[in-house]
Amino acid sequence: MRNFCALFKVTLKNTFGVTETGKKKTFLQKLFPIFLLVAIAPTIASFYFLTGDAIALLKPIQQTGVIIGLLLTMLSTLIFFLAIFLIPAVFYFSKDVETLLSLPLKASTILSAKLAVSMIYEYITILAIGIPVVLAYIVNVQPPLGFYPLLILTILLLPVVPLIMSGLLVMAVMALIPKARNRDLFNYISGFISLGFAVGINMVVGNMATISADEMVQLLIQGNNSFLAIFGYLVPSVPFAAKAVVNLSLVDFAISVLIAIGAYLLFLLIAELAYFKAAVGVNETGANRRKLNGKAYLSSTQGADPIWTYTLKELKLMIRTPIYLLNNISTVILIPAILVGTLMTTAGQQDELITLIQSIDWNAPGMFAYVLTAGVAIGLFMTSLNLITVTAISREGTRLFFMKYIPMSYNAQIQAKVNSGLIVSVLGILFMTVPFGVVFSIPWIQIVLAIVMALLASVFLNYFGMIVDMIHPKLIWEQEAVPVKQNINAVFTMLPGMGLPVAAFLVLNWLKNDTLFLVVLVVLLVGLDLASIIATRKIATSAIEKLS
Amino acid sequence: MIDISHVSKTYSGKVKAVSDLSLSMQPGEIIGFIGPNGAGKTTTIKMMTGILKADEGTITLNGIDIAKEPLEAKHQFGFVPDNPDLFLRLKGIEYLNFMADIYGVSASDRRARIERYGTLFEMSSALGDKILSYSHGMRQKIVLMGVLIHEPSIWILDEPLTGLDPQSAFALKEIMREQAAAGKTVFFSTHVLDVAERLCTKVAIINKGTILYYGTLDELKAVHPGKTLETIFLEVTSHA
Ligand SMILES: Nc1ncnc2c1ncn2[C@@H]1O[C@H](COP(=O)(O)OP(=O)(O)OP(=O)(O)O)[C@@H](O)[C@H]1O
Ligand SMILES: [Mg+2]
Repeated sequence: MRNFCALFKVTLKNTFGVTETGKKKTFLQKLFPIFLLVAIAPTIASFYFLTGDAIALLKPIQQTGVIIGLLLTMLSTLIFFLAIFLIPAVFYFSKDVETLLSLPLKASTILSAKLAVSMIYEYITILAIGIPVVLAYIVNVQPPLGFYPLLILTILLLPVVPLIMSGLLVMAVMALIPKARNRDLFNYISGFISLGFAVGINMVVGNMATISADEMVQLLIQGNNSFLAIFGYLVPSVPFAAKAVVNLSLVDFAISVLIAIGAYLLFLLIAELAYFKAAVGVNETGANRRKLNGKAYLSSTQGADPIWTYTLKELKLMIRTPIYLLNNISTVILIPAILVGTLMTTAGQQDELITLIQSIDWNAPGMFAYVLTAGVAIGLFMTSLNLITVTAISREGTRLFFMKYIPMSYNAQIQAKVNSGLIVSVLGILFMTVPFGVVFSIPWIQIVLAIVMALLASVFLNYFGMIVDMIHPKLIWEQEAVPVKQNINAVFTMLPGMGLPVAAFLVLNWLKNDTLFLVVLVVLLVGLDLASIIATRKIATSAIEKLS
Repeated sequence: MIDISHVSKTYSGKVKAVSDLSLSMQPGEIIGFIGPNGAGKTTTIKMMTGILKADEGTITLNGIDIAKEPLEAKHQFGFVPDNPDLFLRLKGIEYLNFMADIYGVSASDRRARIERYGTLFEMSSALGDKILSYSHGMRQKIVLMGVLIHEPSIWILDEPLTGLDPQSAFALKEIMREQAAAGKTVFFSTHVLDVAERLCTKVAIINKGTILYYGTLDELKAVHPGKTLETIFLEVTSHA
């Protein structure tokens, strides 16, 4: 136990890198918390009010417990998916693995410490989403006193089962794949297979969850929070946890605790067998040591504009680092694939859905504005997912000094970094909008306009992310995973990304005129684009100079 | 030509790493920068290359002030940092082409230089592999080649010899001599006194952020007759 505590503390400090001590904060860095607060306030507020509205609807039919069930289901599903990326980073790609193995520590101690650190990371996500929802629940439902301790304990325990589920999944994949000679290649393959599994499970679960309309009505009219029964297919402890909190049932709580303990023991057992062998040497890479022939001496960028060369360098480094490929690049293809795939499989099984989709009249008044809003949402969503500009400085880490001694202006280097983000965003937007447009048979004019809106929104978010990372980068790290996985900036750029479509939606309700809506939206987006571009130009030099 | 004039640097308002340091270096000179650990060598080099801003004083490279015209000044020199772990996921050849693009090297020049230095440092067969697969010394050699590819008129190297095998160290020393003979300024920090003794036209001895001696080796030995550079170095730095 003492070993565990010591190891946990060290790993935690190492992972969350308590910020550089003894350094004076610049003016911009002092303003940073306020800046973030302003940026995320609309999103937090919209979570709060949406929950309030939902409760108002659910109260008359005595189904307010659904909110808690929905929250726990959402959070645990989110944790499961985040962990698919997090577990490889903490357990496999982490450089400290080899050091830890040389220390006189029990395998279970190492594993528990790593699991605990992963939990801390998940709590941050839980708090950002959970607090506004729970607050709205408390205010509107006024639950009895017993609710509070049960809720807190349940939330604390919540990450255990989904984390372990993805942990087992990742370990199985890592152990089963025959080790290729090139370890980087092995990392790519196993990473993508894990994701494939996750997508597959998602689809299966999605199908299981589609209960018939009759059953749904039955559950609804029963009252007494009976609606809770439809949740919790993916993570087995969730239905018990939800019932425990909503009905103040200690038996259900005990069951959810037992499931967590069981999962933990199973994890230790399997990890001792499957983890260590695969973890060692995971940082190796392939090499040929073959002499180059004449042509290979010259790059394809040969004499190109330095900004373009620099952009290519950024993209190459991301594509070749497995953890960045998974987090920054692969989302472009995977997320559209998951969403479109889920839609197709669901639609394939339910005729009503197909009929419903085909009966939509895209030229009806108001539809146009919805399509444009969806465009904005997709642009922001795909950009906030790729995390490229918001980690562009952080990914440099201690190598940042390179930016300072080469004869290229900071503005040019920053522009190249933004370009790398823009390129990936554009691909993501196309992969997302075009298939959806085709599936829903949206008129092509509307698709094109939606894509334009998406691009405008994405330009804003790319520059915005760049600004955030220039002011507040995470430069002290040893593992490549840290700047994308344990960077609070990333979370905070995602949140304004969710708030902006909400704002657009409000404008839509208020204007009720397609042309006017288009004009207002374009003016709004172009204004945001210009503001963020100018701000980036203005602060780039001074912000980079201050970093060391 | 490098001109450092009354430069000081204090870290976080506490540690005075360099104080009132002045050095003037002419084309054709090879200057060895020696001093104990923590003396302020890397700090000085970081200020010369624009990585750190000097608190006081000015630094000019070929007459261009690094603080006032950073881009022009950065075009004057090539820099080899003490830690060669730069772009580990790039292939050696990609790194060289990247540097050549940044510094605007023509196609024919880059080809000739890659071939020449690749052979000299025995790196030809490794250029197609990622830098991640290189040993420490190989990483240093690729960073060196990244400087050689744009043939700067000023060379700034932070402990370039650490980790090089005898052949490569020899090749590097030969190149440094050749560059100086061609009228370039070569400035490097080192802990290897033998090298400083045999290679440098001048040495600068630094301790606790101040220059204790700057001049030719002959003059230094004239002041301390009959002693080796090692004994002189130990004496000078322990008195301070
Ligand atoms: N980032 C930093 N923050 C605070 N102090 C620093 C920092 N870098 C160096 N120092 C301090 O500045 C002084 C000079 O360090 P510097 O790295 O210049 O030494 P050096 O001569 O290069 O040493 P070595 O031979 O070990 O490379 C030392 O006292 C060191 O502790
Ligand atoms: Mg040093």
